[in-house]
Amino acid sequence: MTRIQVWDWPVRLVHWLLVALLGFSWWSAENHEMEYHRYSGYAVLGVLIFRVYWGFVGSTTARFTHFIKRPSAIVAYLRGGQKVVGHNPLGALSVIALLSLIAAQVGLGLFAVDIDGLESGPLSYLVSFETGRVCAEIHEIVFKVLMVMVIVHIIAIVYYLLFKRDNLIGPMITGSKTVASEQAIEPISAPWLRVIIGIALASAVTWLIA
Amino acid sequence: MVSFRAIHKAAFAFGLALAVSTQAAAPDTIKERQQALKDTGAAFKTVRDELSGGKDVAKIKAAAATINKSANAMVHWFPAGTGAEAKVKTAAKPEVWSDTAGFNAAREKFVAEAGKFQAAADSGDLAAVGAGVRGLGGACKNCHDTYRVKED
Repeated sequence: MTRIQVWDWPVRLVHWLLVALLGFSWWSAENHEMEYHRYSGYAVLGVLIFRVYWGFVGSTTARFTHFIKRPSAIVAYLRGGQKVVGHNPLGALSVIALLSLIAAQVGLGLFAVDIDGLESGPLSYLVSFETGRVCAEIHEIVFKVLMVMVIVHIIAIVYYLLFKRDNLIGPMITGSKTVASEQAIEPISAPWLRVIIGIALASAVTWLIA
Repeated sequence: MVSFRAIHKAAFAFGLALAVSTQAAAPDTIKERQQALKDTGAAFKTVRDELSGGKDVAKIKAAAATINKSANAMVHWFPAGTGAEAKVKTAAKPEVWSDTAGFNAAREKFVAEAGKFQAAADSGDLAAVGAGVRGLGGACKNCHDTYRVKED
């Protein structure tokens, strides 16, 4: 058995930032703190842009090419159930679904308008009141779908923990995991320069939109 | 000579017609006020959009006029019988009719704010319009918080 690094720190930070921001977005919307809600949405947007960029230039397990598999590979994984370092082929679908839903949610929020025309997303001036209202209504539906996916995500993690004796939470906090020696992969690194470029990119795009 | 019975009959028919007509009118009244309130929300969005972007004074004036028109027409929008009992989906709470004094005070606050707001818009002074947004929005919210069913 060897202890290896599975997740680089930007992947982990993105994950926990999304957890915190989703919670805060929900809280601020429930309490009609729409100024906070907008800021929270901008932060989610920035984090998402960074994550997509990191999916192309990040460390091995962060890359889309590493975890997005053909359906045949997903079926093979479901039959065999071999241990995978990084996202397994099925879990990858959940990652894509969650990221897509969060992206849809932020996108809708940018154009949403409240029922009184008092509060709105930063791009709502591009659409009519009616369209803005439709965006707001779909924003609520997507939130519910997103919550279902979050629950599925948590159930899957508990299932792995209890029935497959595979703790997925620890590695998402510490980044490292003990695996069979033959599963060891090359050391994972997150070059600072790439991280800085990513943060600059995400901030610039978010600032332009907000 | 017109008999008592005839008068009685006519009065009954008139009463019936009135009852039928108010019954038929309630859903229309609800739909009309909903449309007008939607237009008011849209006008408010126009004001905010123009203040932050286009700075089109003509659009702001037109929107302020729409809002002011709504504010002054509102006194006719909530006659008795246009609540939940009209069997049309409405977000108007029963308090609109049970707490008439409070509702009227909230409505009059909107009338006052909308009047000031249109005056600001007509002056063409965007700073004054911007300053009026908060008070006007507050008047909307003030009434909606108490007399409109919360979303969700």
